Amino acid sequence: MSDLTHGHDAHAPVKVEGPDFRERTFVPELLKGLAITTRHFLKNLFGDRDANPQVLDRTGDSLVTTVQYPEEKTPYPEGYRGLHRLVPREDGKPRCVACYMCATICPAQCIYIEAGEYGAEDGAAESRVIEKYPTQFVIDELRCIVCGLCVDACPKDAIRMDTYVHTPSEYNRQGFVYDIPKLLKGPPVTHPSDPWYKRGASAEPDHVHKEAHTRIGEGAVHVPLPPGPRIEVDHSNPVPVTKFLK
Amino acid sequence: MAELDVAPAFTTRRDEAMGFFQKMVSKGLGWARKYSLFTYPFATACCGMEYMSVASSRYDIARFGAEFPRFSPRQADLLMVVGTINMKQAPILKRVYEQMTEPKWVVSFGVCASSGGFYDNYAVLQGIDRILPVDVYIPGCPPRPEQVLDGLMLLQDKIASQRHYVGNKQPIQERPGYRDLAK
Repeated sequence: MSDLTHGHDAHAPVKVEGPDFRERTFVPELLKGLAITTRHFLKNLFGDRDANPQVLDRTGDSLVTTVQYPEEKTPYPEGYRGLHRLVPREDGKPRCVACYMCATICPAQCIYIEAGEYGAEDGAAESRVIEKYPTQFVIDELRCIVCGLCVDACPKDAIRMDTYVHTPSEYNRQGFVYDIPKLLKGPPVTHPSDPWYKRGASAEPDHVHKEAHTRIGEGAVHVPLPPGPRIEVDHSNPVPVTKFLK
Repeated sequence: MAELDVAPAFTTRRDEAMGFFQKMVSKGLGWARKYSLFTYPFATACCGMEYMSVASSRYDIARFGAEFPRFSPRQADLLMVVGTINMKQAPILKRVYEQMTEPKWVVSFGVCASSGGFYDNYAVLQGIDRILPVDVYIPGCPPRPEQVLDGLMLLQDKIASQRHYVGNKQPIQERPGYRDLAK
């Protein structure tokens, strides 16, 4: 005989205490439930919400839970990734230099860019500092998973998601295609390291590489080789470097 | 350009014209139907969490009369496709849509249902509008509750502008221009 059945008959029915009369009527529990409902109803009817909606304290007495959305909009939290914008320069053009970094990294492949090239005679300083600009910059917001990788990938700080505006719903899919006139908005941004600030002042020496303007062979410095014995290489027959190169 | 700006040239046609009482009945039915949307949430993916957040007390979809999810398509009149629809799910979704009674509307919830999102592969349906007529697209991955409520209000505007008939078992006639606007 184990301890579990010590002192009891193993086959005797277990006596269960049934609900008493008070519990069987359900009246006190009913009143408790009604009290909770009434309390919430009165709180929602007469209460006011905390003035600071960032505080999500639901324990206060005067806190209405429901946000009456179209009339009342809670501010989005810091760092909320909203609708994209193309950041303008001071002169209103997009900062984008059409490098395709955002279009390349986009996992949804929702960014489409067509690049145009500045000619040698376009503009004064700009044509030699920036080579390319976007003639088309299209984002399909219905494809976009708002991951923010385009913002991280952009080397020129030209695309941001700091509008704190969500993408509105539409009746058709064409409405979600955002092009440059719809995307180019918001305050302009400049950085001291912007290439169009690097020009000017004194003339630069030829061997200094200019940003975004380095071409092969440009600025190469030819240093005379030191005197000494040299290995003569026979260039008449091609020599296989490795077996993988063809 | 909003679709309401399209010149309704067809209203001059005699079969499309409505009498005064017909118009009043249509408006009344539209008003009643836009505030009593019974939703069938076809939730297949993570957007379902956001649907629950819209339905619960913070954003409270009940304020728009759409609080009552019916899990039988025969009792629903708003099909919310919430989440990724892959090729195996597509016939089921189509069947659910066909089981719903008229009048019925479809909301595409989130980018996966609307366009396939970033699942641009052979297994995922690239937008449920390939098999269903979609009334409102809601972007976002997942959409914020505000976006969902925006989409719901768009749908209510659309329902209010449609023509409703008493005892009509036929699908609601789309105004020409809703889907042709993109062209």
